[in-house]
Amino acid sequence: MKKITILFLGLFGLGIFSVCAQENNYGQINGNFQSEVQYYIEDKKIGASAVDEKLLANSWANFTYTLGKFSAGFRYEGYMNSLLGYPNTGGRNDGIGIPYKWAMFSTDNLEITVGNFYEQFGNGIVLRSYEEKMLGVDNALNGFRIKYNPVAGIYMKGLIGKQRFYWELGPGTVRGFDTEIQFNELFQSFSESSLRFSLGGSFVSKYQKEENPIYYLPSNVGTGAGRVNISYKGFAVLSEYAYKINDPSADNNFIFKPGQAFLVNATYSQKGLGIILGTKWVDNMSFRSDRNSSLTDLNINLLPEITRNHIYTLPAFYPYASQPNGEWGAKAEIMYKIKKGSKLGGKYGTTVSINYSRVHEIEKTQINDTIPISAAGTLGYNTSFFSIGDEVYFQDINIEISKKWNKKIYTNLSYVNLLYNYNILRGVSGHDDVLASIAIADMTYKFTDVVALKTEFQGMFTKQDDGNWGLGLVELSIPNWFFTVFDNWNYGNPDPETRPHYLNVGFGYVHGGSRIQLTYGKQRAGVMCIGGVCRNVPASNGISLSISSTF
Amino acid sequence: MKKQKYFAIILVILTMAVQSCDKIEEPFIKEGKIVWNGRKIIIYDFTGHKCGNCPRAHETIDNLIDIYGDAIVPVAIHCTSFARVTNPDTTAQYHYDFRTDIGDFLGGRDSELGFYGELTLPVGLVNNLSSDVLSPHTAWGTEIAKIISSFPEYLITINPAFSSVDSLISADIEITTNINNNRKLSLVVLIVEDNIIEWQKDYSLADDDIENYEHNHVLRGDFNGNFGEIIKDNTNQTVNGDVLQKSYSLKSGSDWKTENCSIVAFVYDYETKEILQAEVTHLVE
Repeated sequence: MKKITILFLGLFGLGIFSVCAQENNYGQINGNFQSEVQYYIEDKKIGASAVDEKLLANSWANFTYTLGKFSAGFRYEGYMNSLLGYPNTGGRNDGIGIPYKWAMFSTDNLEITVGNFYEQFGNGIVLRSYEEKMLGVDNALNGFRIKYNPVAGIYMKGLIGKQRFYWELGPGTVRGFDTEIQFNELFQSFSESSLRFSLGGSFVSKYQKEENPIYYLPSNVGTGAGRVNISYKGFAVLSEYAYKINDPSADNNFIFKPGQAFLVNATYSQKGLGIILGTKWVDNMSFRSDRNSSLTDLNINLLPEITRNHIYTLPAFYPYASQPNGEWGAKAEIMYKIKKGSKLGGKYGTTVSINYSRVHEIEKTQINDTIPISAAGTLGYNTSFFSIGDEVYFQDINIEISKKWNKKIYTNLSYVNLLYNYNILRGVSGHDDVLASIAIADMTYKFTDVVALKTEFQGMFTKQDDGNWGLGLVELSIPNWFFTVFDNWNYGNPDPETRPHYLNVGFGYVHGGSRIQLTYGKQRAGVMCIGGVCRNVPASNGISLSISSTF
Repeated sequence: MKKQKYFAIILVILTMAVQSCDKIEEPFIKEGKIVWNGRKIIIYDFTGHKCGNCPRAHETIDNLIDIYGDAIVPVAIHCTSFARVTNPDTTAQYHYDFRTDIGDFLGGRDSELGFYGELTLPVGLVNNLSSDVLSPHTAWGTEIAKIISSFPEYLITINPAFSSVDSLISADIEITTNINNNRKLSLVVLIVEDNIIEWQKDYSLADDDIENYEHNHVLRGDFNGNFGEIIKDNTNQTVNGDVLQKSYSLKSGSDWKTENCSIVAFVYDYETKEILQAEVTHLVE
């Protein structure tokens, strides 16, 4: 604590110097602050509970000091206590302190970081250390990292550290190395070529002491990946393959099978047209620095999502959660802008976006007649590379048409058709797959350049789960202020006695880099996913306050 | 030449990295001998009859009992919304109420949080009552392996009795010191019941509602409070051979089958919350 105080006072002092003596170039401090506060009110009808503390708050502030080639910073965090729904088993996330602090020295071709840092190798399938406050995820590494570019076109990174585990560090040590070679930079003769080509390779190893009484577990588990990126004019292809040796863990039920992952994305773009095609295949690629961890704890890698992350409320009821134990997915997306001045395009043009994604299980067969699939203490199962099983995990077909009609009216119309394998994606059984159609009409009317009224109407139609939902939203924006009212109504719940309204009213004030928002309302229980990583969202009723500021 | 040098460096680093892997060949399962000096291990298994993943934790306990035998003393605590009874009609699924006051206090009841806060079942405590060490069932074996061979600071003897006249269960507890110490010591005395055949959710099965599931080590109640009773302060030293004695009684629940009940007693360090020794004895031999 003493060290923390010294660091804080030191940076604070330097901050004063920067304000008082900027001409003398003592560096500068910048950062941001955010606080999410909720006052909880019990509502048995929707299953919302009150808390002993009455209100809970998640708050944090980042401070970064920069002076020439040197920079340092820290993040002060407080969960007093953690908002409901965030990972907090046994209250281990509750507390206040400085879990994230770092110092960095960088020159043109060398960067050294000590302390906490985030990092990603390639697409993240062997290493992605990141934070996402909305999910309560923070798997920052605490250790050392070196980035070195020995010559133009060769980029090397090496790191060693332990991952953040709430207010402590996880038991495992993570070591990693990544190199990328940009051929167009490395070889002068290719520098002007329209064909761009790069190769990359990563290796990440974790160490965790083996103390299991039942299994002979590997203390060191390594995973390697290679990637190729090629682009030519409007075309681009990005691909990566990863292989992991035996990594028995709670995620895979302690099987000793190696893991694999492969993904490829191809894009084409020209004026007014964009096309994306992609596929991924994953087998047994959970990779954590603690083999006993679960949920969002201590993940070393992150398997990129292939499905669309919906921002509208109702389609986000059924989000896809990545399945590291095995999944195959494919996606296709076309964005086309109908020309201005045409019959359909109108004066400002019309943008049409069609997106399709589908995810299946991979095919798994027994390793012999007597051992069931994924039996602990075995090789688990057999599978062939890029095999596709019959069971569908998820499908999403959606079309979005956005159009600016004139200087005052903008509309966005969407239709979403979802197939959601409830059992697999929620980790339960006995539920039917959810088949849902969702229609969304979003319109904004600008009275003046700074005064606008936004309305949103959404309807979800399904015979499964909680049945049909409707949502209506009105938001008025005036200079510096906005006022919002929306109601989310489960009018089609199969139980006529359980058809609650989730009404929310709120307003906010925005000034410069600061924003404050106060809302009263109810929230339904469900899940929330970002990038295929999910957390539970409990039902709640109460007043929430959100404050953020950058400086 | 300069570029070739860097390629060589990359190659060397990758070679080193690939070497830092442990490839395990079959057999994957250990059959080693365990050194055991008599220390018994408490597992608080926070569970619920509607928790479809909880049978995995029950299987873990069974596996650990296969390895360590009587050294494992499990206590299954039904709690949270997974222990909810939606319809008490005895013909309905999940009609049986496994909940207890102590279970509600520790693990929470319905959406109300308990002492250990928000719990993601199945989760448990291995030989320690601190919320900091809540762990998934997959970690319990490792936790036990770390402590199973250590020498017990205490031995516990339980002398139970049951009066069918007034349904009173009594337990005389003797705690004998094995190692001189100045610990502030607490004693917890519980009653558990085996072989309760009732509904259990199990997500590993296609038909995930099991009607005749055998519930074992089910916590029925406590004799001396949620965290027991302090029986020795840290100002008093106990020396090898010292004996502490306590007696408790508890009225049997109307639905308890006393022939399947056992008394569980354990002592823990009040400061560190570490459980130092445990014992379990059948109520009726």
